[in-house]
Amino acid sequence: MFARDRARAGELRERYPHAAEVFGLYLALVETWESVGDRVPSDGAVEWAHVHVLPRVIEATAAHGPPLLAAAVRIAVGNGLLAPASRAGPPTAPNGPPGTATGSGGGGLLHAWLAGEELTPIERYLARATLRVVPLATPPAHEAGRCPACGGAPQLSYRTAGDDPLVSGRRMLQCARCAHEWSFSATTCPQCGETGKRTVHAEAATSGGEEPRVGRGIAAGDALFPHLSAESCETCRGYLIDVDLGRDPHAVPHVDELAAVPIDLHMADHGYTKITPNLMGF
Amino acid sequence: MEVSRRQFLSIGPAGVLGGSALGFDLTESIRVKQRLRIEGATLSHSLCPYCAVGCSLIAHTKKAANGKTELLQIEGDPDSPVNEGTLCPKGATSLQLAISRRRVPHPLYRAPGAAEWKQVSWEFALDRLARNIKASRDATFVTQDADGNVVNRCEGVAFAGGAAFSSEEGYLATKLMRGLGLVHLEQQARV
Ligand code: SF4
Repeated sequence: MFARDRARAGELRERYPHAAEVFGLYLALVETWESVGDRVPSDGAVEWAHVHVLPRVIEATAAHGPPLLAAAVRIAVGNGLLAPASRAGPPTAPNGPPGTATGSGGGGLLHAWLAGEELTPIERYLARATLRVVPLATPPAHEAGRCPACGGAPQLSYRTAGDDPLVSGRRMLQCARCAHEWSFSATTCPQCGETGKRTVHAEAATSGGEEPRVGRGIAAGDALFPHLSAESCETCRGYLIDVDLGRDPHAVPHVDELAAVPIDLHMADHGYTKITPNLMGF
Repeated sequence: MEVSRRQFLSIGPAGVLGGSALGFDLTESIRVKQRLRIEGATLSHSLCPYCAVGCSLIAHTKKAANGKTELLQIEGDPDSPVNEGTLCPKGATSLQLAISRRRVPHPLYRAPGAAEWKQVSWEFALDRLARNIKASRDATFVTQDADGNVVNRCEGVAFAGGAAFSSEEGYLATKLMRGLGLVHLEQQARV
């Protein structure tokens, strides 16, 4: 189930040294997801994941995460703050500020993420890494730009590959919460619905007198990220990383998006905010 | 180190984990970012002017340093129910209708019997065209048909209009050609 993710993450770890640490942790998580495989029950999957997946995610993070994150997770586990046996129940807010995952004691993290509550980056990371293997049964949403399967925000955008170079592939969005994919307008902002003010930010050629090639077709000859760009909205200043499968048919959008850290930093410098940070917090 | 759960979970971008929200080392990514030359291009909708299919286009433009808007690329609009992102080879090259490095910016003339083209002035070219049109018209103008009907038509010159003609250009061309008595008019204007 995760063979493509694993192969692609391994490949990108070699190709993009700046993201080696990110892919190192991602590969450890892939191991974790594969180890639980098809044992996820159809009933009570979230509670099951809290007991059986979260501890493994914590273990993988402590062993392969960046040193400070690993240390923070180890300390938290040592202090019993993320006790694997904690019951995963819906957030009821007895212990902490209302509207935060801590408000439900130790077990509400996964439900809080599912309920779309505001979470800290580490909470978000742990919840998403744990729920990656859980099929979600949340009611569909009909809000434009939101996942039609679960109502989650889009994580990334990608263009389908075509056999013919004269055909522009459809724009697809992938959900940050349930990984569902759906087709969406190429020129509309999924966050605010603005239709007329889309900007694509992509690498321009730096050698050989080439013109900048920011659209589809052949990428600039010396591009480091030929298939990655950022698509922003000038109204809400939100953006998503776009993966062009026409330029790299071997790309796995949710894996390749993790390599775009320098583009994310560029976008942050220019005052844009990603609609949803990815699994690794970028 | 004693941290409460809340403190642990609150560690963020400005917290002990450093630059990245989860503590990833960003040194190399920042170096890569500084090397990248990222251009921003605005997306706008447009329509292929070449034929009656009317395929939708997405144009990528950017404001140049001199304030002018530059056209960078044109591609099929995948949202269009007409072409669903597809363009025929002609439409796919429509960027060259607006900008082309290979466009010839001045008239060229190859004299009868000559092997070479030579650059000439617009005055020379327009004068030559006018003279040739007049000569052909004079030589082939028909005032009466075989039955003696007055027709006043020029049968030796034909006119073919381009697909990128606007309605106004098409109207002007038709007026001018009908004025010369042309009957063979073809027009591919679709906009
Ligand atoms: S792309 Fe081709 S088929 Fe479509 S309108 Fe242009 S010329 Fe016609």
